[in-house]
Amino acid sequence: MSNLSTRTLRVTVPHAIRSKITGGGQNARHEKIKAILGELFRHERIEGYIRTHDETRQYAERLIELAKKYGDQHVGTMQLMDYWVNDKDLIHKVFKVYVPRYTNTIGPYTNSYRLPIKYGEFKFPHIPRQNIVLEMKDNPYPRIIPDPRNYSNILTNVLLNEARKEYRTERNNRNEKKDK
Amino acid sequence: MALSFSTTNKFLLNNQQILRSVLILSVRYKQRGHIADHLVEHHRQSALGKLKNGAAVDAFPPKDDTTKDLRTTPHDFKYVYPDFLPNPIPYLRDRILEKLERKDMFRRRQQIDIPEFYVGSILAVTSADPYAPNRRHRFVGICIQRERHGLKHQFTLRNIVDGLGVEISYELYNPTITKIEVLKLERRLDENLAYLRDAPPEYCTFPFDMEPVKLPPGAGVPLNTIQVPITSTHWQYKWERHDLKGILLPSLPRSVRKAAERFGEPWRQWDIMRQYRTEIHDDDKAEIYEDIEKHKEDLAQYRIDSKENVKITRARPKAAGRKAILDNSNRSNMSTSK
Repeated sequence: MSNLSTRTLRVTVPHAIRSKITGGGQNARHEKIKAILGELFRHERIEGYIRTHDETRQYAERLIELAKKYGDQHVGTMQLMDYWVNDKDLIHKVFKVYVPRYTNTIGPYTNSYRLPIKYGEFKFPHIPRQNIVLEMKDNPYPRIIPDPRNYSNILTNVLLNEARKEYRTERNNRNEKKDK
Repeated sequence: MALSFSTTNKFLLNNQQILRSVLILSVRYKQRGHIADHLVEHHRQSALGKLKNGAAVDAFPPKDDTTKDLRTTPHDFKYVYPDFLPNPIPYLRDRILEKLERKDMFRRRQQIDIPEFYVGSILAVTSADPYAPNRRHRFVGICIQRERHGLKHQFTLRNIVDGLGVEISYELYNPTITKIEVLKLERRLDENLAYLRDAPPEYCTFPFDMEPVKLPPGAGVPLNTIQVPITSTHWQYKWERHDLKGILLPSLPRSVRKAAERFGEPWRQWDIMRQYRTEIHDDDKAEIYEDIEKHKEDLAQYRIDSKENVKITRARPKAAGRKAILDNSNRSNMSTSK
């Protein structure tokens, strides 16, 4: 397994792993990461504590890079997928949905955005935590940070586009009649 | 497991810093005893300068079962040229230094032929020694480990000479090394064969006049799947804990076996981010590989040029180095003094 290599991940990888994201040793840490990975691959957009989710983001990126490079017929890659993804239908999703979606892109395949920390709400024993939103790129949901310059859905533009189409079809019909 | 390039000895467990005696020429003795007097006398009287017929007294023929397994090594350059891979620790990377070191490594490779070899291959290294007869010292041994990165890349050869285990660490790019021959090219199941120190002597005894073993052309690197028994009563490290594939452990007490299982950390082989941090990635490797390919072309050209095909016409007569400089300086001194 350790001879599978990929490009450098285009996501910040700190020099040391965050070993204390949960109690119970390394096995518990792996279980936690597997759980969050499963949620991410299934729902494509999740929220959570930055420490756990940023760690999982690295694993998600690496798994997708490996899937892209080696494909689903490679024994080592399938064994890794089998270990890291608990629900086996998600392994199909990775190869059938994510790999084709990201074949022509290099960048990070996930986005992460910081959510505001609600300092006013102090509910004992919870301490205010920095949460993030982790999402797969090109997911079907509306954007988190809306693109303000896409005006094609405002009413005036919709009506104008339709009018333009109508004009064009009528002109084409007139030209065909002339040719005949 | 990938080749371990860490400078720390991975067999030393965390809280066991055994004080290893640093010996000149890295000659390694068994930890338990000193050399017997009669053996010291024998060494004093033997003419070690001359090449003897066979190295060891009562040498056993080295055992191997290469004929059984002939697997090909993937010819990824990370296996063939591990010295070119830099230290994977990110805060120790220095791209400019790596580039400059690579240049120096290529220049050295133009001077002598540094062959492809692996841990488990049998090498003969001839180095310049001002105190030896013929000014050359030749040592034959099995390569037990390869460490460090770039110009500092070292390999250690082990052999048993006159009943005494000897290990010599050579730096691959040391300019005093005049020749590296691969007498037998093969791989083993592990990347570190330090366990040979606790194995019977026949597993690391190789005659100094060993003939090179020729492989058929186009063949891959054979994998020797030999299982070396560990028969010594005192082990240097706890071999049962390190997942070594090439050893045959004796029957161990239950507590030892359980401790080995706990130490094994079965989750480690799956942790892709830990592995990511210990390896060099494809884009860096591609850059290094480009340089290596270019060096191979240059090498071919260099070898052609140096073969009398190109006549070097000198504009002025060839001066004999220092003498010419001295003569010039004397002349100028005489002229200035006058």
